[in-house]
Amino acid sequence: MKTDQLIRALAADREPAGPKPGLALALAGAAGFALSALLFIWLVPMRPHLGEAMRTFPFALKPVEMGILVVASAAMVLRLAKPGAPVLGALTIAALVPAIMVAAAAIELMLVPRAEWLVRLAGTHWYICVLNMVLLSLPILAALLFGLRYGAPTRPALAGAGAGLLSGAVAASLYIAHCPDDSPLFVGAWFTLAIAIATAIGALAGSRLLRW
Amino acid sequence: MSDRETQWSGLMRAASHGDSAAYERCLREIAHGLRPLVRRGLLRTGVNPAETEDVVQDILIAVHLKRQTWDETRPIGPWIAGIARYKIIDAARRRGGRTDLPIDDFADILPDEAQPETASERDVVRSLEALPPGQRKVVQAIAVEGVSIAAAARSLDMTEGAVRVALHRGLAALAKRHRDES
Repeated sequence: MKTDQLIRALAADREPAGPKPGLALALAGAAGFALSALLFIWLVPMRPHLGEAMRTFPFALKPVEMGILVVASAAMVLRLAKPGAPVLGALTIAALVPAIMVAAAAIELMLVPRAEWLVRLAGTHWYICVLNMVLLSLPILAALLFGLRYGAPTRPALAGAGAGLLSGAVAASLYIAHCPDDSPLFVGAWFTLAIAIATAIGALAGSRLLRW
Repeated sequence: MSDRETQWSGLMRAASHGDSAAYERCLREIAHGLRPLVRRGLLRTGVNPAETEDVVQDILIAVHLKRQTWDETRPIGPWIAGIARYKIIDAARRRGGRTDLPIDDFADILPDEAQPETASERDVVRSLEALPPGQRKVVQAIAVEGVSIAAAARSLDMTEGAVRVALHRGLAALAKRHRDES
């Protein structure tokens, strides 16, 4: 088939195009989120006295940080689904979050005696925290990767990484309702590790599943 | 804004509102505009430039199947350049060439670039052999023989709806061809 002939066939194909990538991602993401939320309710108990804790400053940092990360990485994923859309702006906003984390941890190091540092860092059970957050991110990640297939990600590994980042940030946001540790040292280390693992899984999966 | 940007995005918008003549013209213009760019990209990644037309066809199919990912409020140039770059790198990866094509090479996608095409290049024939017989007959009739959907339905003794579906699936299968090979 020559190119002119191919073009004739393409123009004759009037089957509707697929859903817009934004719609596909929103629907898939909502389904993944519902699954993760159910998993969260089934897996871990809510933090006792959550309402009281919410009014303390170190606690309040967590939803702010995760909120910024969710919004910025969602914008990033949406852009990575479309060829030629710039992602640098969203990436810059996402980079605010590690900056806030580092600043908060530095302040904590100044306020807390040296002997307390390791206790704060380890928290009640850091490894369970990391494991649970990664686990909670997986349904969302799978759903977002499925949604991305309706897009045209020209950088599959990066698009997968963005989906991993978003799923990790959403999972961490859910986990805030359970996690008894508010120390910025704890959040900076273990929330970051969990989200980084989700991002790496996303990048690996993206480079394999998102080719088109 | 360059002339070509205005022209391509105008045609593509008309196409999305159902103007298939505008769409056909748009795809022809895109093929014409991309050919020299693809050739250059292939040379740079170490792939035989004789593959140019094959990659141009890949890009056209991708533009068609992924047209919903173009946001009509944004310029179309970077969108097409993104698809073209992806398909060139994809071709290079499959053929063991370099895959680190710098993005700047595509910054100049829009300026008009006249370059004579040789007839043999444009006569590259994409094989339909790999398609299942039903899809192959429909694509053959509409693409190669140039008949309408209605005429294809009559001569193949199918409903028009079935012809439409077979055409769409056949084109999607042509896009998948490479992925199954690699």
